[in-house]
Amino acid sequence: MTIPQRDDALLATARALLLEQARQLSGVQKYQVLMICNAMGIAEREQALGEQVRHDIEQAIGAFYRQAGLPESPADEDRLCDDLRSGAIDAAAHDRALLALFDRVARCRLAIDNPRHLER
Amino acid sequence: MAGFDRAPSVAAYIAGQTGAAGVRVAECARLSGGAIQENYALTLELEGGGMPGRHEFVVRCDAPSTISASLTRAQEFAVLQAAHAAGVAAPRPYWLCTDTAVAGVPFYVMARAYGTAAGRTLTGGALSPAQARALTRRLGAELARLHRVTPPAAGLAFLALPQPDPVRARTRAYREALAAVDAPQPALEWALGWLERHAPPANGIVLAHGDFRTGNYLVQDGELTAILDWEFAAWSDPYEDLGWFCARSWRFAGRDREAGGIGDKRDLFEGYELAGGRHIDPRHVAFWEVMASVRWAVIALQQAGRHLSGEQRSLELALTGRMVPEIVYDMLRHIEDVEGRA
Repeated sequence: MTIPQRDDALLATARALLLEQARQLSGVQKYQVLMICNAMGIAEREQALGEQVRHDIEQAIGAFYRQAGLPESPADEDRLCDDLRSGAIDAAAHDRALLALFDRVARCRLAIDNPRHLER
Repeated sequence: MAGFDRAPSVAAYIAGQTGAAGVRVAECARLSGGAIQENYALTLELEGGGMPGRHEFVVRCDAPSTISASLTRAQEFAVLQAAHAAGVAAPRPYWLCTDTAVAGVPFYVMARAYGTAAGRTLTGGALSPAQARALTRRLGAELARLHRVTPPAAGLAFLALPQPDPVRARTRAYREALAAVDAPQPALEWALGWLERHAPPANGIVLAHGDFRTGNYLVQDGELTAILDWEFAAWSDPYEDLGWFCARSWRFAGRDREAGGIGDKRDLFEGYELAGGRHIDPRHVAFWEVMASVRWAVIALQQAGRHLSGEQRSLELALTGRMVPEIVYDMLRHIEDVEGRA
């Protein structure tokens, strides 16, 4: 039998077992085990989606700058913060577009941190 | 006071305060909750003096993890006294002890109240509809009573007045806090600007609880028994407490019940107004709900920062930081609703 070099399901399998164990627990122990499961889930999704999410956020920021008639690069959150603080972006004039951008970014991050929140 | 090893010393202190000839520790245990403070249940049997008999106390002292924005135990005790004197359902405060020889840290003693504070339990079907409605109105009334305390007030001189006004004092503080956070947060930067552009007229300054939300009050048999956790009390706009209470982040399992996941805003506001509070403008509450989201996101980022910097490695702190996207997402939905109504 060939042992696979890479087991993408390792973390998910461990997490599923831990979740099963959590059912037998109560109180602080249950809370802590569920926290561990949550962290493992985040780590798993980060591994699978992290690169794509970073790319999508960059694309969304670039699209905003393009739409606002400002240089597209660098399309990152540091610049966006600086531009909002300094007034280089007239936030009032771009409220709608900014809200749509931040909504997109929040959805991207939730895909990793808490995808269930999007279903609520 | 780890493991409550100072219980005998605290019991002797209480005996001294009451003039008791003798004291017996009937029960001592650490109570759950309180990342910033530690609370211990201490049941004593006092012999003679001004309070003879069995008494159930809570001893509250600092925990290892503190937040710079919170009050000291001495300040919190003064706030508790002011709230209790105003008729608010705060635990009765007894004594403040700043002599660290007694328990190693300053502490105060208050009456023990019973019930559950668990947000998920209270919002997840533990209350009948009638109980939930009555509780919502009662919480409104409690806030109205608290908000009757206005500056200057005896014993509260340590509380600074927000300058130039509560909205700008808060946005300035949160902007400074964001500047100190490593990860850029453009949505929160933008929200701070939105708040400044949409600030309602000032509503006066009152004593605000500062963390008035489901999870910070006790309920037993469907009824409120005590409002807890006064360490963030401040002079502020009365709407700040109402907005914090109604914010989406604090509704737990009751996401559609706008008043703390428990009931309707209408009942909360009616309770507030009938107890002598001002007429509530729901638009102002909605504004302060946005402020609440920004505040909670800033706190979550600071907590994650303590973990990430290595100052306090903690999975709980790390996961709190991972809540920022959902806080922001909820805030955006709320701003959309507010703008849709405008």
